[in-house]
Amino acid sequence: MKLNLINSPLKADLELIEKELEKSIHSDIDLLQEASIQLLKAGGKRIRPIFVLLCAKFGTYDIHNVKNTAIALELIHMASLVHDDVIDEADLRRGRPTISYTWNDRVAMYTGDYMLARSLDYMTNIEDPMAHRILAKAIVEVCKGEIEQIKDKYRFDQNIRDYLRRIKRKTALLIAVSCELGAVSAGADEKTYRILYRFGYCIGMSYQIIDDILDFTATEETLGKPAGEDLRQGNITLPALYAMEDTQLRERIFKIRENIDTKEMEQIITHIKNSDAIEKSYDLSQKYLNKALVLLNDLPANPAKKMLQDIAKYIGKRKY
Amino acid sequence: MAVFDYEQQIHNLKKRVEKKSFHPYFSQYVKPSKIDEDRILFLTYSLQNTDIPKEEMDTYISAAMLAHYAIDMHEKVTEQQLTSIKEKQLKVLAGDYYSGLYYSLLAGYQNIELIKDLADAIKIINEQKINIFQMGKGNDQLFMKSIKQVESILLTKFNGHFNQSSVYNELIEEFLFLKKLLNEIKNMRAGNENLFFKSLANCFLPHMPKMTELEGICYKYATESKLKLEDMMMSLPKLPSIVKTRLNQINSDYIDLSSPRVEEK
Repeated sequence: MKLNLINSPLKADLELIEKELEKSIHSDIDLLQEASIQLLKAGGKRIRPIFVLLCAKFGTYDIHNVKNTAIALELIHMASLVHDDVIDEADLRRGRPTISYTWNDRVAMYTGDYMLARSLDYMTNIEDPMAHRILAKAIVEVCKGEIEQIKDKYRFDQNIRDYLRRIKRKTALLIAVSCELGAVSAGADEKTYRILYRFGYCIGMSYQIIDDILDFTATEETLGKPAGEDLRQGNITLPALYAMEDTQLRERIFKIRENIDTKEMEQIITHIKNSDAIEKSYDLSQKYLNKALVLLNDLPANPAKKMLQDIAKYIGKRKY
Repeated sequence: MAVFDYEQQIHNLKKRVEKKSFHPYFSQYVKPSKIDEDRILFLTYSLQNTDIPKEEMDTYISAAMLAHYAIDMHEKVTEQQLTSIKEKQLKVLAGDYYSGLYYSLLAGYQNIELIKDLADAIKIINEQKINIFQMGKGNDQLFMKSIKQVESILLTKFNGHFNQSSVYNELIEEFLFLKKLLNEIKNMRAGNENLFFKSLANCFLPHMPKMTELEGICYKYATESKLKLEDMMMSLPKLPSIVKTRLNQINSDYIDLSSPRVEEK
């Protein structure tokens, strides 16, 4: 099942969002335009705009209003990707050269800042002050999550709670806020937007856990980087934390540093893949998904609810 | 407002921005940027004669300073003297964090229009920075125009938001432009890495101007700017004495740098 298929009822509105996204980053400065378009064309699942639109269906849906929130959130996400590539010194993103690789870090920094500014500009079309407070708080928290991630690199004595707190800020928060702001922008009632926030949070947690599993299990071709790269870079994700419950494997993982021998790293990855760490991680991801589905029970039945359920199921099955 | 009040206000706001932007982990790896007191002064002056309550006023000024602080921090990501990858990573995140903080402060006061104005300023700043970076198709006039915008648009947008006089915008533009030119000349003379002069030199490609020629060009623009500032001082008699003092100081900086540089043989 592909995400674009289950979202077909939103097709027209998503096409509008895509066009508007292109418009949003238009600049008379050729290099900036080129860099922004490179990032936009690299695609992405547009999961945040999808959640914004679907959750807006629980209020008074007006695409011309709610599109502002959808664009703002996708631009924030894109800006963070450009800056993440500078942080990670990444050459490729989704199999394509990054902005910092094609040009340099300077262009990447300017492009990211430009996109964040455009994002806030779009957001100002939403007059509800609460929407701004929610988004501003989320941006600060996401940054704190990224700082934590750097702080926790190669810190092997961390626990699952540390990991969950980190991925909450890193990923789940922006998805939760996409759901919440979709509903808020459409004037949905408080009970509804709170449920949708929780739903987005659970989906985001599950999504990131699966991302972290795929980092071990997917092929290099699919990932656009070698399997286990997160761990090699010192990012201790859920499968690694579960794998460390095995004393022998724990000792080997503890010795991982950036300059680790490739063979040793490959062996560790194989051990992790063959242990029950992957299955346990899937189980936790599934728990979050189930929680998300239960939360939806309290919302009125409508086509959007059905699509949110479908997305939750898709996330549980995704392979890339 | 008396001179003392301005000084105290600048001091308080500086502390406030420092406190707001503080993060224990940054402080271990990232040297904080210097908070530009002149900018605080101009922002404070922009809000004079408005009926905005003090706390709200301070919040707006802090937000604008944090927005500027974010831009400054990101400029440092590409510095050659970075000591570690962690320093670079944290500079990226610090800039993003400060951006979140400025938005958060303005969202707290529900001033959506000011969010829009500052976002617009930041958009223009980054466009112009890219423009400067890829100079080569332009000329020195376009280059200087971009520099002027980068330096002052955040403050002039802020000023415009509170309906302050456009004459005052010109004062901000010329002052910050002159300050930038003088700093760049100083940096260049001190032998520091200088993207400014590299980009300015690109405007003259394929001709490769000597450093002294480039300095001469800067000096020409600095002189024009200084003369405009002098005119403004005459035509804006109600300027607070602290602003006049700063204008006089920058004038002496200009004079100090006016001694010709000894050209290498």
